Order: sequence, then structure tokens, then C-alpha cells
Amino acid sequence: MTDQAGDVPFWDLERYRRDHSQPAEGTGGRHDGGGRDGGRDGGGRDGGGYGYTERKRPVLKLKFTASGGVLFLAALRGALFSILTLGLHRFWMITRLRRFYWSGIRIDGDPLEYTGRGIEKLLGFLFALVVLAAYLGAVQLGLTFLGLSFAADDPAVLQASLQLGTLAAIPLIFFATYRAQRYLLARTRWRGIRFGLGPGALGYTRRALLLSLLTLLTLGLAYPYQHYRLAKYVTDRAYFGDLEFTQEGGWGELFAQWIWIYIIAGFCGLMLWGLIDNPQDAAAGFLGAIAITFGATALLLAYQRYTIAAFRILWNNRYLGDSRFECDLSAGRVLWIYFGGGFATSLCTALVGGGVAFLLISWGATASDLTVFQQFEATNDPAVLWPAWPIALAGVVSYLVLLSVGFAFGQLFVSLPVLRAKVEATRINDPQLLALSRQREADRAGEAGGFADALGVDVGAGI
Amino acid sequence: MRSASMWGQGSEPVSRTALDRYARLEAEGRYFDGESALPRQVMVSFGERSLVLMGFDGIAIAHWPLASLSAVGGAGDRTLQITPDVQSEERLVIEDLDMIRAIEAVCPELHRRPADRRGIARALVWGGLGVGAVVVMVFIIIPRLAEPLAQMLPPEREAQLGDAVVDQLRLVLGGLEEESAPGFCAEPDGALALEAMTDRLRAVTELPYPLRVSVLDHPMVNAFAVPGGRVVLFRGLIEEATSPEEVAGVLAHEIGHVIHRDPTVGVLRSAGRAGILGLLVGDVFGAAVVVAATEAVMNASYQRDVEARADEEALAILARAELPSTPFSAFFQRLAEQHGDLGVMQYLSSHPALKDRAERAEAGDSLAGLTFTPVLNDGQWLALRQICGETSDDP
Repeated sequence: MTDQAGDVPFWDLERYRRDHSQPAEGTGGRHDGGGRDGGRDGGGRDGGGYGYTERKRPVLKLKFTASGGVLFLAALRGALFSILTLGLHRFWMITRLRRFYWSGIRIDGDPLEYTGRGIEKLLGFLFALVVLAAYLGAVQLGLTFLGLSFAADDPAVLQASLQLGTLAAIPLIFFATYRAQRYLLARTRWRGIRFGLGPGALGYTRRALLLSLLTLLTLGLAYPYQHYRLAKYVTDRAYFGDLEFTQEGGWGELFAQWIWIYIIAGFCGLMLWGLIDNPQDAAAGFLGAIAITFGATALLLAYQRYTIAAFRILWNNRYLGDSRFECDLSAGRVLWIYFGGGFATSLCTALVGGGVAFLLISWGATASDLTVFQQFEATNDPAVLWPAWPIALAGVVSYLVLLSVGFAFGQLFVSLPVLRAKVEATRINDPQLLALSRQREADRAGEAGGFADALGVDVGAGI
Repeated sequence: MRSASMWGQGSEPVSRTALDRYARLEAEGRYFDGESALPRQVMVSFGERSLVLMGFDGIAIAHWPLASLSAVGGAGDRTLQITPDVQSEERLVIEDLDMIRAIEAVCPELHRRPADRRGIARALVWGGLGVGAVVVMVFIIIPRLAEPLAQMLPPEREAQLGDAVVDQLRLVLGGLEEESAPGFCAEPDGALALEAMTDRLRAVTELPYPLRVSVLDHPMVNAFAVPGGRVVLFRGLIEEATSPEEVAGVLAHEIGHVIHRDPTVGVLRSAGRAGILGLLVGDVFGAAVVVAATEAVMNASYQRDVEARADEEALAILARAELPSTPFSAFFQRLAEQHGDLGVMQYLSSHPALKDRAERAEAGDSLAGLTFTPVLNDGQWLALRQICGETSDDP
């Protein structure tokens, strides 16, 4: 490539491509085969093809434009229909919400695009149901038989053998996670070019199982290592068109964030121990309760803080082709969104609920139907309850409506702002290199995240 | 979204007047050819029923028919991304608000997603398969597997399991407190009488393991068999019965369960089902409830089959032991009169309707009014009714 260095200004990609297309067409996509072993350290490649040694390297901030009103209505509608159809509509609701969120993410002015469809999600779910019914049913039956054959006299062991059935789902959960991510990427486009994730669900499952075992054996200390290795496994198989994503960095940085959980736990433990040491103190019990509450909250916060920091660290060390991502997501900001948004969600839902309850009561009081419950208690005859069915029906309906309202407020006050914070904290160095990407073939990703849906795995897309 | 009817539905997708209004409108846009991510600046304008994308060198890149234009992403955005038709990989991004409004005005169908019926037929097929797989698994494969598996279990293990079940049940009946758990009735004469009754039935049946019968000091009118050949009668049942033959009928029914190892099969079945139903637990919007309800109804029907089979066994045992089944029938009749039959609820109940059982028991009576040797003499019957005079914690 260096031989082609010259006077082409870095922004004139069209000309760059014209000039380079004939000799370099074959390798045009992976334009930098050797880029991964050297030159990842910023300035190393600056002597290369674009001649921007003296210039400041361009950095692109990702933008997020999405209106909360549209989201709220879509989420409310989707959730209501989902309840009415006993969950069947949720595949279309998820599709709609993803389309909304994706189109809000702007990279260089061009929005992402989500091309998934509701029907394929339903198909995938049904397919997963068929497979899982056979697998889990047989596993559970077999385990129970073994449990009965060897430990029928000990209910505890028997119970444990039943719990083992849940463990049988764990490999499936890892498998499902990878497949769901693959589906998600296969249905994402930018500038008309598809993203994609290569095959590797079985390798992912094997690694995830071994790494989980390691985490278990080290009492969780190895979790950042597991987290990093799995993130790297997935990232290194991800593509945008024919450009490869790569995960650099290491797990040390993650560990530095993870260890805080242990420090806080240790501190809380010491505090409690100090309190238990003087049991004569009358205030000790009260202080102990406070210390436990405080400790639990602190641990929860520390864990959330770790997940946010991990997002930042991982994205800060990711490459797409030769374009490096940067991320300075602030844990404080996201925690504040969780807290403030959670509060706003519960407040708004409670207000709507209060309004509905007020209407119901004023209506019910005029119909004086509420007395039937006293009559029922007095006579114990269910027949007296019949006149109250409108109230009961209205109660059930309002409960279901409130469930949807709460979901929609949660999307509005938590999911949307968190995604906004994440997108706006992310930058891409040398974004002009992304224009080199060529279209990749469509990946059917047939079961469309169905296993993840059936097993209740969230792949981190928020929805 | 704009209503399509505003512009007149049908053969004329493009409003001529609107097109004339925007004929001179031009705006910049970014065009992507669907083969690379390289942006191309283009001038966008309206042509004859088409959107014209012109390169800056003055050469037209594409004419996109207005009728098939489709927006990518949501309505109401400040940026419009469009594609010439839903299948195409080409994209055009426009940020000029006037142009966006113009395109939305002349293409009222822009934001409408054409109803995509691809896959509906497959969805129905897979839906059928999915429901079918769960049903086949829960109602055919698991029960079929459960029976041979139950036969393979070592009998002593089953007996241990049965003891654990009985202990658990006593704890529950006693309100989860060790001291108030009902004891086993152990008055010696009563125990001898019970043994005599059991012997008479045991002599005419072949069982996979030794039969152990005990009485629990509790007022419930009930009896059950647990894995491992153990049958438990409740004090309430013996008190409710008016003759030893009625108790013998109930005992024969429980022995019918023991012959087919029904309790053990039941344990295996419910474990397998739990594995499948656990699948649907994570689901918030309610599909699990439907499946669980269906399962309850279907399971009850299976249970009724098992109960009916046990009834048949009971009639056969009574016949071989030269005992009448009419008292067994009368007992059901009396219970039905006292407690009412279940009506609609019988579809949810795990036992066949009491009246039906009574009729069948009467029809199956092999002695039909002939004389027979009573299962217990009067003294033994009195002793059996007094069996709960003493209780112990051991069976």
C-alpha cells in the first residue's frame, strides 16, 4: 500500500477508489491484510495510503435523533396488542421498536436500518419451541429417573436432581445468545450495506461453558476475563459489509472495574462484623439493618457501574476495518438515567393508575356494587357476586392497560435515554475508511432469535 | 402516517397536481448503490412519475418510479431514507425538509409497509408443529417413556421415595409443624383387622413389591397410593364407610394403582412436563398461562384415564376375592349425595364423576346379591373403626 502513497487528499474517497480499483480490486475490501499485527497503535499507519500525516485525523461523533412521542405511542400500542393476543403480537412489537431505535442512530448523517420482520421471529420461536420441548422434556425425565434410582430416600438430593434440569438449559442459553446476536446483525444495515456475524455458535457455547466454570471456581474473580474473551469471540466474527470488526485491549481494564464489587463487599462485611462483635449495644440491630440495606444497594450500584464501564472499555478498543471506535460513556450519567428514569416511570404509571382507579371508584360507587363483597363475606354465597362483574372486568382491563403504560413509560424514560447516552458517547476515528466496505451476502439466520426468545435471553439490544 | 384515501386509491398512485407543484424542486441527497458504502452526492428532482437522481457531472444515475418508492425507518424523522422498492439494496438519504415533504406528498404510500404475506403459511405450519411438539411430548412421549422408566426403577428405591412422599404429606397436613403432623393409627386389634382385609385382597393379586397399608389419623375422606406399594387410608374414610366391604373397595382401587405403578409414573411425568413448561415461564405477556391451563385440563383427562383403569382393576380384584362391588358403588353414591357432584368442574377434576364410577362399580358386580364371606367379621370391623385409638409416628 505504501507504494501507492501520494498526493490523494484523504477525503476524496471516490478518487481514491477510482485510482486503486484496478490493481487492488481483489483485496479492495480487506485493504489492509497486515493491519492487525502492526500499526494499530494510532500513528503507525500514517505513512500509508492516504497521505494524512500532517493532518489531524478525522473523528466522527455518532448522533442520536429519535422522538420520544413516537416511541411512547408505538410501545403502548405494541404492549396492548401483545396482551390482547396473549403474547403473539410481541414479535411485531419488538420489530417495530427496533426499527425505531435503529433509525435513530446516525453515523455520518446516515441512519442505521433494521430489516427484521415479525413473522420470522414468530417462526423462529415456534421452531425453538419444537426443539426445546423435545430436548428439555427428555433431559428432565432422564434426570428425574437418575435421581430416583440413586437418591430416592433423600428429598434434598431429589430436589437437586430436578434443578439439574435447569442446568441443562445453560448450554442452550449460550447458544441462543450467539444466534440472537447473529440475527440482530444480519438484519442491520447502514448505507444499504448489511452487517453480519459469522458462524460460531457452537464454539461460543463451548468457550462460554468453560469460562463460566472458571468464573465459578474463582468465586467470580475471573468474570471480567470471561466477559472479555466472549466479547472478543463475537466481535472478531462480526462484519460490516466485508469490513471486519476486531476487539483489541485486554481484560485487565475490566478487572480493575470488577474488583470494586469485591472491595465494597469486603468493606460491608467488615462493618457488619464490627456490629455483630458488640451485640450488647441496643442500636446494633438497627445499625445492622441499615448496613445490610446500604451494602446491598452499594453492590447493586457497583455491578451496574461495572456493566456500563465494560461497555465503555470494550467499545473503546474496537475496530471496524482500520477505523477505531472511541467511547467515553460516563457511568454516573447512565446510573442517573436508571435512577431518574425509573423514578419517572413509576411516578407516571402511578399517576395514570391513580386516575383510572379514581374513575373506577366513582363509577363503582354510584352503582353501589362494592357492597356485594360485604354481602359475600356475610353469606358466603358466590351468587351475590354476579352483579359486580362489570367492576371486576373493568379492574382486570385497567390492570392490563397499566401494565402496557408502565412498559411504554419504561421505554420512554429509561431505554431511550440509555441508548442515547451510549450512542452519543461513541466516536469513530477515520470514518472515511468505512466507505470502502462492500456488500455482503444475506444471512438467513433462520431461527431469528427464537431460542433466545423462548429461553428469555436478552441479547443486550434492550428489547 | 398520511391516509392513502386522501389521494384517491387505485390506479393513479401519484397526484398530478402535487407533481406539478414540485416539478422545479431540487435537493441534494446521498445515494448508495447497495454494493458499497461509498456515498455519492446526487441532485434529486422529480421527473415524469419518477424520482431522478442526477450525479454532479450531470449524468442521471437512476430514475426511481414514484409508485414503488418505500421509506426505510419511521415517519416523522428529519432525515428520509428511501429505497426504489422494498427488495432493492439501493438507498437514498435526503435531509432537505422541503424535498422530504414533497416526496411524502406525491407518494402517499411511502411509509406504508406493504403487507408481507411471505411466511404466513410457514408460520401456520410451524405453529401447528410447535403446539404439536409440546402436546406430543407432554401427552404421548413423556407418559410412554415414564412407564418403562418406572418399571426399571429398583423397587426399594421406589419404597424410599414413597416414604419421603408420605412424610412430606403428613407435614403438610399438620400445618408444616412437626408436632401436629397426624400420626399413624396403631391400635393392635384394628391393625390385625386391617391386615386381615389386606391379606384377602393381596392373595388374589400379583404386585411388583410388598403391599404396605397404613391408616393416617386425619378426618379427610380420602385414600391414596404412593410409589413403592404403599397405600394410605385416612381415618375419615373408615368412619364414613358403613361396611368393611366399602373400605375393601377403596383399598382394591388403590391396589389397582400399585399394580400399574401409577404413582411412580406420575412423578416421572410431572418432572418431564415441568421441564417443558419451564420454557415458557420467562414470558411476560401471558402465553404461559394459556399453555398451563391447557395442560391442567389435558392432564386431568389423563388422570381420569388412570383412575378409571384403577377402578377396573378394583372390580377385578373384588371379583377374584369373591367380594361384592355394590358396597363400593354405594359408597360413591353416598359421597355424591353428601358432597354434590362436580358438574362442569369434572373436566378439571382428576377423578371420574362419582355417579359414573358408582354405576360402573354396580354393573361390574360379579356376585350380584349372592351370599359371600364378609371381608371382616363384626368384631374385626369394630376394631378397624377403633384403629386410631392409638397412634404412633412409625407406620
